[in-house]
Amino acid sequence: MNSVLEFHQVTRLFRRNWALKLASFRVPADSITALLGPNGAGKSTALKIALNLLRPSAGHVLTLGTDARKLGPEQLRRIGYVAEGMEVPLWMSVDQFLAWCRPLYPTWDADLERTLLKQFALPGERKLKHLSRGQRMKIALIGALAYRPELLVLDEPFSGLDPLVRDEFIHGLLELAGSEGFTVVLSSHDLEETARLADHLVMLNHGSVIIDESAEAILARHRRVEILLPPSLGALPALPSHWLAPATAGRILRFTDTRHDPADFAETLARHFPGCPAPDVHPLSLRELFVTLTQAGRIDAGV
Amino acid sequence: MILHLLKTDWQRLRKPVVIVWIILLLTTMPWLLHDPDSSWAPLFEKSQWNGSLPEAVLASLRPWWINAELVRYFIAMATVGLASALGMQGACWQEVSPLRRWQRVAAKFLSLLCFLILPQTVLGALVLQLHGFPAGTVLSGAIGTLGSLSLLYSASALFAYFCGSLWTWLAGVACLLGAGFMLSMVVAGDFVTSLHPFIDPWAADRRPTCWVLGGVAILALALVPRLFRGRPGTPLAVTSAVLAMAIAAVSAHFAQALAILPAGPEDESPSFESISAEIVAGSLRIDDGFYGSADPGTRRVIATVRSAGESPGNTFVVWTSGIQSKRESGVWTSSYPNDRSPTDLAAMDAALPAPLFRGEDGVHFGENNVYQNFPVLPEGRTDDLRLRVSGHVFRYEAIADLPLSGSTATIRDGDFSLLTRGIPSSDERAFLDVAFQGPALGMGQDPRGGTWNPSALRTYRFVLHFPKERFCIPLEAVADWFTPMPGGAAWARQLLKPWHANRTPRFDPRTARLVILKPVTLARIEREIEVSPPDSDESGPPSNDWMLSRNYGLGFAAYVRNHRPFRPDPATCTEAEFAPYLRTVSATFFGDLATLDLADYAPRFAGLMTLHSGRYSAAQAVELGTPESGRESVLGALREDPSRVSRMAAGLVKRDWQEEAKDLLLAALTSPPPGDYNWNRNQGELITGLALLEDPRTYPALLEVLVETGSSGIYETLRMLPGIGPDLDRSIGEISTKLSPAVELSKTRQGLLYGVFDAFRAPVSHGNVEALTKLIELWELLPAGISSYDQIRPLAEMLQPEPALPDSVDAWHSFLVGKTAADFTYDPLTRKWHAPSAKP
Repeated sequence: MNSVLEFHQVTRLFRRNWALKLASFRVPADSITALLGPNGAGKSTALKIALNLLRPSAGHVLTLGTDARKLGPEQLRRIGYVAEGMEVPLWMSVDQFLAWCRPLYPTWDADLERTLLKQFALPGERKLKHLSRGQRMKIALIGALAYRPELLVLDEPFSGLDPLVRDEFIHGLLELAGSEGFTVVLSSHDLEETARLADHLVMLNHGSVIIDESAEAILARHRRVEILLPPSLGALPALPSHWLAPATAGRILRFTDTRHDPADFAETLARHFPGCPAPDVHPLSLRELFVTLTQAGRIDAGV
Repeated sequence: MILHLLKTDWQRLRKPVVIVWIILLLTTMPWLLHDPDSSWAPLFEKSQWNGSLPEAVLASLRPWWINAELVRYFIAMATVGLASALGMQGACWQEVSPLRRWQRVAAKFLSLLCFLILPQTVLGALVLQLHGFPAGTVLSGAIGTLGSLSLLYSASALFAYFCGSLWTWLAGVACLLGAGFMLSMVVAGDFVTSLHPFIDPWAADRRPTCWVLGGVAILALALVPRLFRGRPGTPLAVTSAVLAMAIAAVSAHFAQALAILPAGPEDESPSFESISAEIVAGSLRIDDGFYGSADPGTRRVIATVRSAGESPGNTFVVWTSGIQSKRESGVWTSSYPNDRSPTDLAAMDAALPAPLFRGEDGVHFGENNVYQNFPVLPEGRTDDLRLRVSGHVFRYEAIADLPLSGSTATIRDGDFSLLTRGIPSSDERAFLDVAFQGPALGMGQDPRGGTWNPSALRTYRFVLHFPKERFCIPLEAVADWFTPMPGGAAWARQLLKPWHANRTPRFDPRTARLVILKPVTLARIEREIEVSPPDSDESGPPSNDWMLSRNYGLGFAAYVRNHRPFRPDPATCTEAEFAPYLRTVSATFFGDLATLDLADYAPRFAGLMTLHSGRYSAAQAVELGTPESGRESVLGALREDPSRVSRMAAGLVKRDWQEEAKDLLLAALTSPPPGDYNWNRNQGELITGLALLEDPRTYPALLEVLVETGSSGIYETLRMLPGIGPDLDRSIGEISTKLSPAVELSKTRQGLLYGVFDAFRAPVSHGNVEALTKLIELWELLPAGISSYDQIRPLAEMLQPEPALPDSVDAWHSFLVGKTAADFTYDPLTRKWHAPSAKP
C-alpha cells in the first residue's frame, strides 16, 4: 500500500524533553489515519514536522514522497491543514478569505467551494472575527478542502466544537473523503469520533509509537474476555502476557486478550483452566481499548 | 502573487493607511505653502535643545502650528506603527500556504513602499522642489529619504514579525527604546537630544536612525535564537537578514553610506583639488600644554604650511586629531565649530574688506599660515601615543556683502538659501536674524575640521563691516533653532550679535554692511605625530604665584624643549628664517626667557618684531633689544600698522622716543586704529607718553579722553601739566555735569560698593562743588547695612572731617548726615574738602 506520510526514526527534542523519540510510522494513501495519545504524546509535533512547521532533531519524514524539510509551494498546494486554534485573518469576511485562498491554488474548485459553503451554511459577508469557533474551523476546512488536497492534516479538529457541529464536521469529512478520495491524518482526543472516522490508527506515548495498524486489525485482535473459573481451581495460574489487566471477582476472571485468535485462545484457555465453561468474548470499542491499555500501564492516563 | 499579497495588505490596512496619508499631507502642507523667497523662515520651529528636558517639554506644548513637535511625534508613531502592523500579521496564517518566502518578503516591502515610503518620499521631494532646490538635490534627497525610510520601516516590520503579537511588540518596543537610549547615552552621551531624532518621521537626520536600526539589529539578533528555535527554514535566512541590517546600520553610521546628500561645501570646490599643501620642514612643533590651560592632557600642534598655487597669506589650517576627550553637559567638546580660534580669526581677517576688530581681551591671531589647534590626548592615557592628525587647509571667501537693514535678503549659495534680516533696533542682544535652508543640515560636515556639525549654519561666518570706520566685527549666535523639513533638508535659524557687544568701538549700525564668509577647502594634510604623556612632576603644584604655577612651568618647559633649540641664529638668520620663530613665540606666552631671546633679534629685525608686538613678549623684546639706530625701524613699522602703537606706547616712553612718536601717539589716542584690541588697556600709556611732552597742542585730546572716561588716574597725570589749568577746570565741570549719583550707584552691584565713588574722585578732588553735592546725594542713596569701612574708604581721600574720624562706617554716617556742600571748605593744597565733624 502506498504511503503519503512516512516517519523514519524521527526524534524531536524541546530543550531536554522528548516530544518524539525515534518515532516511525506511516500513513497509507486513501486512509483516514488517527494519531492518538495522551497530552504531550507528540501528536501535534509529529504533524508539524510533517508540514515543515518544525524541524526534527533527528530522523526524517517523507510527505507526499518529499522530504518534509524541502516542502515547497508545489507540495503545499497538495496539502490541506487545519489545526485547533489556527490563526485566521479575522479582519476578512468569509468571502474575502476564500477569495484570498483561491489564487494560491490552481486546482481550486469553485463548485466544491460553493458546495461546502452551502453544506456548512456559512454567511459569506460575515467577518471571521464575528464567527463562532466552530464556524471558523469550518471556513478553515473549506479553505483546506476546496482545492482537493491529496493530504488533509487535521490537528485536534474537534476541540471546542459542540456535539452538533462536531457531527456536521465529521459527516462532511467522511462524505468528502469517500467521494474525493483524499488521505486524512488527524490527531484527536475524541475517541468516539475518531473511531467513527479512522481506518488506521497510530498510538503515541511519550513520543514513541506503540501502535501503528489499521483500525480493523487492531480492534480485531483485542477482545474482552470473561471466564467462570472452575470451583476446584486453587490458586490462579500464571497467565499469558498478552492477557492484559486480569482481574477476578469471585469466580469470574476478566482480562483483555491482545492477540485474539479463536483457535489459539481455546487451546490456551483449556490448558490453563481445564473444564471451564465457554468464556464470554466481546469485541472492544476504541475507548475500551484505551482504558485497558491505560490500566495495564501501556500508555499514560489522560486520554 | 506578490500583487495578490499587496492587495491583501491594502484590504487589511487601507483605513489606517489613508489616515496616515492625510496626516502626512496636512503636516506637510505648511511646507508646501511656504514661499522661501517671500516670507521668513517657517514658524514651526523648535529651539535647539540644550539638554534641558523641561525646556523641551515646554517647547513641545506650544500650539502645534507654531511647534509641530507633538504632531511630528504622532506621525512618527503612526508610520512606525503602521509598518509594524504590516510586519506583524499575515505571517502565521500563511505558514502552510504555497507561497515562497521571497514572495512574502517582497510583498511586505512593496506594501511598505507603496503605503509609507513612497508617499513620504514624494512629499519630501515636492517640498524640496517647491523650495527651489536644484533637481540633483531633490533627487539625492529623495534617494536619501527613500533609503533611510526603507531601512527604518523594514526594521520595524521585521521587529514586529519577530514579536508576532501586539503585546509582545509593545514590550519589545519598550525594551528597544530603553536599549536604544542606553546605547545613545553611551555613544552620544546625551539622552535628551538622542530622544528626538529617534522617531523623526522624515529622517532628515539619519544618524540616530542608524542607531535605531543598530538597536533593532542587536535586539533582533538576541531574539532570533529564541523565536526561531525549531522553526524550519528560517534561522539562516533571518540571521543573514539581521546581520545585513546590522552591518548596513553600522556602515551607514560610520561611512555615512546613507547620506547620499551632499556632504558640504568642500565637495563643491573642484577647482582647488589640485592644490597641495605641505608642512614646512622643521616647523612642526608639539607643545606640552598650552597657555591658560589647566589641563596637562592637552597638546598643541604648531606648524607652518606651504600650499602650492595659493598666496601664503590666504591659506589657513585647522588640525584635528580625531580624539575628543571631555564631556560637558553631555556634549562632546572640540575646537570646532563656533570657535574663536586664532586661525579662524586670521582666516576671516584675510577675507574681509577691512581689518577685524580684535576686541579688548587680547584675542590674537597670527599672520598668513601660522595656525594652531588643540588635538587632545585621550583621557587617562599615560603612555606615549602615536597620534594621527589631519590638517585641513582652507580659506574664507566672501559670498555676500549686503547693507544691514531691516529688509530681508536672500542669498543662494549652491544648495543653501540664506535669508538675512537685520534687526532695526540697536538691541544689544542681537543685530541680525539669519535663517538657512539647506539639504542635509543635520549631516553637515564642517569643511575645515571634518568634525560632526549639527548645523551647517555654523560653517558660515557673519561679519559686520563698517566701511567708514574701516573695521569689521564678527557676529556670534545668541540663540538658534533647527527645524528638519520633509525631504532631507532643514531650516536653521540664528540670532546674532557682535562679539564684545558692550566693548566694541563706537559705530553707527545703520552704516554697517553684512559680509558672509564661506569656508572653502583647499587641501588636506595628514601627519602622524608622537606625543608623550604629561609630566606631573615637572608641572608642579598649583600656585597663585604665576612664576611658580603649572601653566608657567609648562609654557617655560615647552619653550625650552621644543622651540629654543630650533631658534635661528640671531646674528646670521634671514628674515624668512626668523619669521616662523617670531610668530610661534609671539603667539604664545612663554615667559621672560623667550622675551629675552627675542630681544636678541631686535637689532636686526626691530621693524618685523614691532609688527608682531600685539603680544607682550614681542613688544617688550623690541623695547629691550632695539638699539637707538633701530628707532626709525620701529617707528616706521608703527606707521605701517598703527594698531601696534598702543601696545608699544610704554616701550616708546621707556626708551624716551615719545617726541619722535608724538604724531603716532596722538593719532592713536584720538582715533583708535582699527584692529587695535589693546587700545583701552593701553590708553594710560598713550596719555603718559603725550603728557611727558608737555605740549599744549596735545592738551585738547588728552582732556577729551579725561572727560570721556572720568578717570582719576588720567586726571592725576594731567593736572600737573603746565598751562592746563583753565581747560582742566572746564573739563572737570563737564564731568561733574554728567555725574549722576543714581546712575553711578546702579553701575555697582548690591553688596559690592567698591568703586562707586571712583567717578567722583577727579572732580571732587579738583574742588568742583557740583561734584561734591552729588557725592553727598550719593551717600544718601547708599543702601543701608554697609558694614565695611573699606567700602567707604575713598571718602577719606576726598573729605577731611576735623577732627579726623575713626575708621568706622557709623562715624562717617554721623558726620555726613544732614550735611550739604556748603558745610565744606575746599583746600587746594591737600585737594580735600574740610568740614567740622564735632557737633556744636
